[in-house]
Amino acid sequence: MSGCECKSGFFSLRDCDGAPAGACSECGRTACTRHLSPASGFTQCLDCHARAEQQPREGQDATGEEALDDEWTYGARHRYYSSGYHPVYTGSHYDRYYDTYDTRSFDDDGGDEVEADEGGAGFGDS
Amino acid sequence: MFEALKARRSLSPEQKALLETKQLAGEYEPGALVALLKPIAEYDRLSDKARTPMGCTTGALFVLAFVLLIVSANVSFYLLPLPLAALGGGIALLVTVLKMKKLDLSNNFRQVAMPLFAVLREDMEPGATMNVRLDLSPPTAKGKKTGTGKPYDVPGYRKVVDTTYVDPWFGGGARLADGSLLQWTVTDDVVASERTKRTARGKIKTKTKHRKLTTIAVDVALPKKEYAVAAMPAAEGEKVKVKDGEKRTSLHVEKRVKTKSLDPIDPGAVFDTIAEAYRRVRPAGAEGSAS
Repeated sequence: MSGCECKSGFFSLRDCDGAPAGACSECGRTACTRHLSPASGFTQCLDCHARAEQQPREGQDATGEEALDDEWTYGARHRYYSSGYHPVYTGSHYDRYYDTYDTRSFDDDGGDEVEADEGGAGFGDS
Repeated sequence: MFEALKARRSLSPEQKALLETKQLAGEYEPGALVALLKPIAEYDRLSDKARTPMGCTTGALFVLAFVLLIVSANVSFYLLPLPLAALGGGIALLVTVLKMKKLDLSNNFRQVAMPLFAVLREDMEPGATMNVRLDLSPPTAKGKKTGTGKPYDVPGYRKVVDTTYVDPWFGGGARLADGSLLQWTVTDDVVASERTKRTARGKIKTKTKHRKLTTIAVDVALPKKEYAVAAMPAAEGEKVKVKDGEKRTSLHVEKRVKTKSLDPIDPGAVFDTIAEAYRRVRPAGAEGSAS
């Protein structure tokens, strides 16, 4: 794929495909401006930054109030997935990055195998 | 205190009106809604933090005014401006505290509604709007009272009177980026139990205890084009109903949370209720189970 490789969504994941603005220094995925973490100086994607930060996070201000911005949302998403929720993926660009969350629809993939799907939902890798 | 007053002064007329009426209803883009509500949430947080010390200072100023009045009466009447100044300060502070208390919002707003808006923003197409209804008045406001029970006895107490309240404080609906239609309501059923007892010294004391049952009801209509729904038992404490339609599978999920105070529930309980619907799905056309 030529667009942003990060996935949007909370309860279900979908492809972003935004115009690439850089690559994450941690995972190497290309990311659009929205998916690059401002708190990391735009060097990490929001997912990697959320995984690295854990608690306390940059998304909190000095008094502990949540900032409720994208940094917060991706941190909350990481914690929610880590607590046992397995998001369903409705996109078509397979990405192993989310395997640690046991993302459904990747379950039967077993690798980089291309498997196109008429409905636009599945395991395909373009 | 000054931080809270400064935060209130910096609110826009729309935000000030919301703070006064404590009601929000309409179509909003989630990002714009978070931007609109964040300064109000910040004011409410600062106000909550400031009110207790302000109340204590008010009490101290009244005591000080009384003491200074006695001192000035015994020493010199030239000292009279001192108790008057303390009294004036106490009255000014009391008025400010009462006004801040009147504008106080339910903490459900900051701790449950705002995180949900931030999460739904991620699941919606950019620019898409959601329908929101938010009542931020206290759960034990007069209009929410549904009845008062007859006094009854409980061991250790002379009299117990239960007053019940129903507070359907939060509801809304949104079309998600995956084509699903989401609707939610959060309703608090509150019992305020006023318990009166005689202490060992013979004084009559009354205290109020609260019990709260929060019902989170979520309806998700999932497009069959995107998702296949698998049969699964409901998680503990949740009820799930599945209705099969021509183009959509509709799931109704209900979760109840009991608490022994008026404190907000964990926003995770609302996330879990929505997630309970998504746990049952797998992409349409994908083989294998939805784990």
